[in-house]
Amino acid sequence: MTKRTKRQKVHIILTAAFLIAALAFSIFRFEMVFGRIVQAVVDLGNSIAFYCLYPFYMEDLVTVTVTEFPPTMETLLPLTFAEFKAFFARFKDLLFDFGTWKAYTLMILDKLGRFAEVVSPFLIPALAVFLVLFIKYLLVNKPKKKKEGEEEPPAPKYPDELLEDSAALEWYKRNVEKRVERPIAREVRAYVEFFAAQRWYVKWAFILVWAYNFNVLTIAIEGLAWIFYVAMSTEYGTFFLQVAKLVCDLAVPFSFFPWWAEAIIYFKIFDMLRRHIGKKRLLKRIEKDDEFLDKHPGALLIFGKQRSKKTSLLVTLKMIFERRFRKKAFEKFKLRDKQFPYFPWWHVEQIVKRCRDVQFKTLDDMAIFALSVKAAVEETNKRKFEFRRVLLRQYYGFNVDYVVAYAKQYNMTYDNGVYEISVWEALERYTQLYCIYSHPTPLDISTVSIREDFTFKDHGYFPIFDGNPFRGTQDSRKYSQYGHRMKFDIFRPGETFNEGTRFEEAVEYGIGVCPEFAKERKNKNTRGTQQDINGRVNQNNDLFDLDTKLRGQIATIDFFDFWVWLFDDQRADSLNAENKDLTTGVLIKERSDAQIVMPGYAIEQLLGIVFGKMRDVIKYGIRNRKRKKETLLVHLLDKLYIPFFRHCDRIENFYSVYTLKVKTTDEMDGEVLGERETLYIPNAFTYNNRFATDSYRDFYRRKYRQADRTLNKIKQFGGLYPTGGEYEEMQSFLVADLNHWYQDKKAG
Amino acid sequence: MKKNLIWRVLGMLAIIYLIGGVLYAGNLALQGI
Repeated sequence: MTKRTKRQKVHIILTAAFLIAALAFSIFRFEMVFGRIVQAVVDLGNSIAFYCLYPFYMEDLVTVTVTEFPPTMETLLPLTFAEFKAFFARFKDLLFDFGTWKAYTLMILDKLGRFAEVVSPFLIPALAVFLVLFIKYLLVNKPKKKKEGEEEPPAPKYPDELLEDSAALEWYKRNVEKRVERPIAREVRAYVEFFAAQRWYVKWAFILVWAYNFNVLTIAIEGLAWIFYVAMSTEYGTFFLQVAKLVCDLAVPFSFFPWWAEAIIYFKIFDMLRRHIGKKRLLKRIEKDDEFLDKHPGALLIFGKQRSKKTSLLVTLKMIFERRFRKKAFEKFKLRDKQFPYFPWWHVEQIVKRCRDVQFKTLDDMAIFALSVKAAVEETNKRKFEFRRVLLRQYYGFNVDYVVAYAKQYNMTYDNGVYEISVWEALERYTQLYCIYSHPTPLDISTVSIREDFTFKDHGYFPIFDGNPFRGTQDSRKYSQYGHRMKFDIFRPGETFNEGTRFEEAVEYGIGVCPEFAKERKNKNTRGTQQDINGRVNQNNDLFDLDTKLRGQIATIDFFDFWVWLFDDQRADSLNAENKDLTTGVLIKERSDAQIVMPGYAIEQLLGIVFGKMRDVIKYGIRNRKRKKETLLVHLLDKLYIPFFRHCDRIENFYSVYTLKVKTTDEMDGEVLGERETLYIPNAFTYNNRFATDSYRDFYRRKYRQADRTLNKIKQFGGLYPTGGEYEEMQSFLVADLNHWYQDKKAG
Repeated sequence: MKKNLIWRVLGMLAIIYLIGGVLYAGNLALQGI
């Protein structure tokens, strides 16, 4: 056994002391709980006996006590349905009576008055202190004037040399923070870590003692007793009695906590509810984006002014497609499973996992696999069958005996009401669809790097895809993956940069993402002056447009197109008509500010703005006037304000949604499909380190690294009217033209 | 946005006031007044 340190021994003694204190509470403070718990156990025993004897008509042998109100408790709550009706009638009359509301308002005003009475003796001195500080810091503290004959202090070598913290802050940091705050925080944290590392029976001892103290055990046992009784007797009218008993039992913990602890508990419950509603609303907005994609299948071209969130929308839609494709693949192979339910699909899934990227590179490989299995099962010659079985086992790892056994007992075809489906077709499709569903890397191939954080809940059996859009920060980093890098040669049937690429690399399904697409493909006007890149390939001879038209067909698996192109650019007409006509144009007309979808946040938002302004004015006012590193007032202010700021900032970032109003057009004939449709970009989904807007910056940085002067050093105007020399240096076409027309003929 | 915020705060305070009133009426009804 390792020797315990002094701190560990203290922790053990402390834990034992807490447990003894809890038990002391049970005996001296919560002594009424003992009586209740005995009653509850008796009730449970009687109810269970009733439950067992009732089917045999012997329930009269036992007296049910759960339907009796304990004589030791008192309550005003209604105990029967008749009493409840009377209560409700009284309640209705009182609610719609003006006198009630008048009395209620007067009560509130009276409470406010008493609160003001308590606070005002502190208010006047507080105002006086505030005025003194205001005058001292903001009005009086001016920089000292230089006296006659006094020398300037020598300039410091480093900028922070002459500054110190204010004297008050130094005192505070030395005496309060170092000696009181930090040691206490350290010890508390050490104890919490110690307790968290304890074994389960230590933690459960505390849970049980406090559950007993707060009557929670009583409530649970009484609840069970009532369920056993009502399951057989079906006397639901006894429900009111149970509610009355519950309220009386809950009065025990609520009488223990002071009013401010109760307020914190109520606030926490309210916070949980509103966060739940907020999350539901965020998911609903993503669903609405999904419905928009349902309405507009096919390639999408997003265009709009600069800074109108085009690329953000592109990334949002790409992530929604990722989840759509997998969900669609899952639905389709679930259907196959229902068509042939006893087929060994579990073995097929294992084979896909094993053979991915090796034996199952393309969709064709999977079709060949299905045909091989078919040939083996339908083989009549015993020797040839053995040969095929060994081949399947060695090449794919597939055990064909399962399918042979299936073929002996179950149906090999399925009539779906329209036509007959063969099991081999189902096998081929299932393999292909499962391959898409369980694709380990993101499905996109793009020119911009998009970060994904999906995962599979995989215990070794069937993996469940988890595309939770609002993962926490740590989990999101754990499952980070980036999309695949675009190689346009894959999509060029004609001339290419590199001949080998389109034969070595195949993309059959997925999501193609290309922002700034028109700069890539250009249009008729800008292509005309295009120099041949690489001496050979350009936008006219690479036949990319042909591939865009045909790609939908090769990506169709089981009557669904698993390929989509997502483009964006600033002007739709910058793009060639051949490409543009195939897309649905999405013009972003309006972009709203971030809106917070969590309800019940308004008061905190207002307080955040007010306190934030106060803190900024005080902090920067003081920093402006006092030549110190930091002052005590600002330090203490921040200690109070920053936790509140963190709480508000995190809520605002997580529950914000940008609403876009878009106009969708069918680019083929210009028909307007939707004048003002709504799309949503949730902040937590799209701006979670997903993409870099400035991903092309490296090209500019290479160019600017050789610069001598940046903006600050570029020459400024001398006055309102620029001189001739200043005009010349502008290197402007207008100035050159003006010089040419108005040149001095005599000098010429 | 500021005007919108003030209306939302007033709305929340109104809801808190109404809930308090309902509980007050319930309390009076329970006491049999």
